[in-house]
Amino acid sequence: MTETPNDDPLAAEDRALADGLVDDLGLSVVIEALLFVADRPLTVDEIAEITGAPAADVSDSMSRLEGAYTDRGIVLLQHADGYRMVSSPRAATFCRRLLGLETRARLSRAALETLGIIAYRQPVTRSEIENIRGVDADSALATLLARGLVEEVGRLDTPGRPVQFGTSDLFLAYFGIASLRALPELDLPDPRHGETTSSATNDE
Amino acid sequence: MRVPWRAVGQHSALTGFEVRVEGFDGPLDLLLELIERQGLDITGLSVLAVTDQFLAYAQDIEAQYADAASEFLLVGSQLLLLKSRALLPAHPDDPEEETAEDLAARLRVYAAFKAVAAELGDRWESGASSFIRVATPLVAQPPLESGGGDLDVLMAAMHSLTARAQEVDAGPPVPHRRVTVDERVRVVRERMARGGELTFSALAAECSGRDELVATFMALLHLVIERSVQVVQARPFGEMTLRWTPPTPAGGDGEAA
Repeated sequence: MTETPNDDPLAAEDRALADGLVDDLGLSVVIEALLFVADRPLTVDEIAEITGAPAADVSDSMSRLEGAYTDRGIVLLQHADGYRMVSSPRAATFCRRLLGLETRARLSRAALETLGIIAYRQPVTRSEIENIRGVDADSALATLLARGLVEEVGRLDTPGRPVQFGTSDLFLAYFGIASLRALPELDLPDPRHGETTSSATNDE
Repeated sequence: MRVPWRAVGQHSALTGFEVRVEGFDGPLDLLLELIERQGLDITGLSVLAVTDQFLAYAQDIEAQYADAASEFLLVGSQLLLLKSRALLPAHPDDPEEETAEDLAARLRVYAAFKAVAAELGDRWESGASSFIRVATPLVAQPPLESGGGDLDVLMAAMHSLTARAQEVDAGPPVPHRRVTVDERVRVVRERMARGGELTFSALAAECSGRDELVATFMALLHLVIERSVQVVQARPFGEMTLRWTPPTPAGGDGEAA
């Protein structure tokens, strides 16, 4: 769906037709349909390309859609720049019943603390995590990686090029959080913590 | 309460051991716990107030797991340094004077994440997840019309298929023999009992075909697990020498101690 045959006259005609259709239906309706059908997160740029609408308009419609879903069984989940339609965490019990899923194993406290640090301080390296917790983070990280809750998101441009970790979209889905912005605020009254990490995630 | 505690800087076998102190995870966690137990706020002062208790715990841990206590020692020595500074008159512009506050600040950051972890834990336990839909596109299949088939087309297709099949010389038919690991275990065991020592390549050379080789290898692994065979390899990718180390006759079918 990524190819855009711009020079094809037939496609151009198709595009013009699509523009008219988007006007008639309303961009939100089209976006809603796309998100419903997609089996992966869709980015604003991608939707702009498909609909032919400007990215700014897509973003506007997207937030309108997000607002409309506050009291529904569907939630818009945002990870990185992708959006995807997921079930509301409030209906989780019933979804789990439908899907025949068992309740999951517990996460250790070490894993939860490590996950919290990654969620708020991402992208973050292993040594930054260990520095905050004062304990080795190997096994906690291995657990989180194995469960797909965190992933490698890059490497720091310092000697040794350490791996940086961030949370995955599965993390948001598992914990029923719509986006990183929806994380509860970090209780740090004194933010004079001028280290290398980007600690701006909690208030924006 | 017994809580498994992972050693600092230990990457190997020591992962499962436990420290018998109330549930804490590492030196900062212990320090925080001690401060909270006293009902104190995290400040440089409260850090100092619990120094003695911390050191008592740290000593206990050090005595039990000498090589695992380095991080405790580090925090402990920081505390001692701070305490000595608090007792002795300090130089007015000592640049290192901030350390008590630094440790408190570090502790405060840790406490914040600990709170976050508790919140995440509650969410995880509540099971309030979102579920992702797996989209299935509708594939439009034209329905088959009855009477719409063409026998000639079918026959032509059949002919071309058989013609192609005849072009390939299948060679003499090869009877397919099923090789089982059990069977190979028996063979290898007999072979080893006779020889005592054997190289892996010699054993492999005796196998006919890949099936047998794979089964033999699995059989060998089995024998290694039950300790009937010892494998010695002097260097990486070097020749493996198999040594027959049969279990005691009383042990019957190779029960390893």
